Amino acid sequence: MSTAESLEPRHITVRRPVVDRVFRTVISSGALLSLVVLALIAGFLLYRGLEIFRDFGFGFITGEKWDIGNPEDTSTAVLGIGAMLVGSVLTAFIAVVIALPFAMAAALFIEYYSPRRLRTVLTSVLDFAAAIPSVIYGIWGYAVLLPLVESWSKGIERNLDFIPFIDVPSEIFGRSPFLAGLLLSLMILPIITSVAREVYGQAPRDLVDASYALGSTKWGAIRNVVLPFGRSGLVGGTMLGLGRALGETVAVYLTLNLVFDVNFRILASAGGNVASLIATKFGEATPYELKGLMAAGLVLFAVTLAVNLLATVVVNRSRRVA
Amino acid sequence: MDGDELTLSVHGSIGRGSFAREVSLDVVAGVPVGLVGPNGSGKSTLLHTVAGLERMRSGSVVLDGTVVDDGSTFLEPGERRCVVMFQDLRLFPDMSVERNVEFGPRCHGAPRAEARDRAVAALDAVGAAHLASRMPGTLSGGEKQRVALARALVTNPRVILLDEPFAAVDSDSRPALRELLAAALSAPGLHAVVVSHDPEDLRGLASVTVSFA
Repeated sequence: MSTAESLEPRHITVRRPVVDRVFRTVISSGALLSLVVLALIAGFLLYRGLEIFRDFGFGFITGEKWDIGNPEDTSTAVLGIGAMLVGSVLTAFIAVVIALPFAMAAALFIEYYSPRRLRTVLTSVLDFAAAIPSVIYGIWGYAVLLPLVESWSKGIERNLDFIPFIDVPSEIFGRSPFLAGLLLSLMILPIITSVAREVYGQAPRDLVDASYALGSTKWGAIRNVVLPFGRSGLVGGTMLGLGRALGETVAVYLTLNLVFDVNFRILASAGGNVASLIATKFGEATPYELKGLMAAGLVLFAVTLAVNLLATVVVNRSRRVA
Repeated sequence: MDGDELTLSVHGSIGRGSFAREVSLDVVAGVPVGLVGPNGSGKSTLLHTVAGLERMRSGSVVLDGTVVDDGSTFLEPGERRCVVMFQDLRLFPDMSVERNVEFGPRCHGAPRAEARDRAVAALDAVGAAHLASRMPGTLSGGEKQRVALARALVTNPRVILLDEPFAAVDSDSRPALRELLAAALSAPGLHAVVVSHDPEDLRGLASVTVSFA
């Protein structure tokens, strides 16, 4: 055998047992199926909403008006989801701002301060809270939170009306972005807490001990070791919560007045988000308006997908660091 | 002065499960004690117990006449002025060398500027001032060792506990570091316990050797 031949790479054939091959096929199919379903949903929404994007172009995303005009003449319709997109982002932002510090505190308490039994109970409660249907949150928000937020809003507005986004000229409070955001914060709290708890729990124990061994308090060890270690994981968890808040439908539908104007006044009883727009209009939509709702669904789908993909990337990065 | 006021005493049961054992140890200030014994004999557990990272199962730890752990009293690690140099050094990977050394004084409430000055002085004392801005991941074993020593000594501890202090250092760097460490351990009022498998290290650092069977 010549030297050149002996240096050629060997051809390796891997023979897997039948059971392994069947199992691989089953799980690969499962993974592919979810991708196919995702692609089918996107394709369907694009197919049904394409006419709207052709008619309105980028104006569909930036426009504030949603007016079907003469149902017999589609050229009179003006459809834009700009106000709803702003509402989606505003309510989701409020939700994250409120939920994040509570989620961090809850995660740190569960992981580093609570007795073992209480930890088990709290973890179960959080898992349960994440599984409560949105409509239950919505009804509770409407029946219990709405009157409370209405009176809080009056107080906040009276004392802080010099801040532009707090000022409410109409003095009509109630089903506002603040209420919807507050309710959404309760809904995303378990998600963020759960991810934060997991990443904080992975903080290197030897570095925590090293902090103690240098005279650190428990808070010092958490501040200098645990929090920096969990930063990227926390960002990932927050973005998962953000994705949920952006796409929430029923809870926002019940707690936020649908008004087609861009509204940055968080206490004013006006707003809406893309998902609640679809829920509100779907039942009585004309065929052309239905296409508009499909197009709105596609935009929401794209935004939520982007946020979730970003979250996955960030969480994976934090796991690699761990 | 009462003799107990200059002694670290550990008497009782330490560890859990297979690491559980009875100990009786007195460490007089200025007389470094070396601990030898096979793996799993409880040497590291003893260091952790003295530092407050683990609790005594029964008995007590008394430091300079003050009970720091006896079942009813437990002083948190931060209140003991007791530092540990771990076998794997455990420098904080996300902090520069200077910030690693500042960490101890900051934990004890020193203002930022004072902590920085003390860190610079401590690094200078161990011949590592030029490493101040480096990150731990870029240091050699010997450099890390010097930084860990500076980080331990900068807090002016009453007790220093060294777990295999030269485990990460090559044999060429050991003599100089051993000399440096021996000088540091002779500081007045300092109780020192050194765990090592290397007889030469123990001869160079400890005045008394105790065997953990």
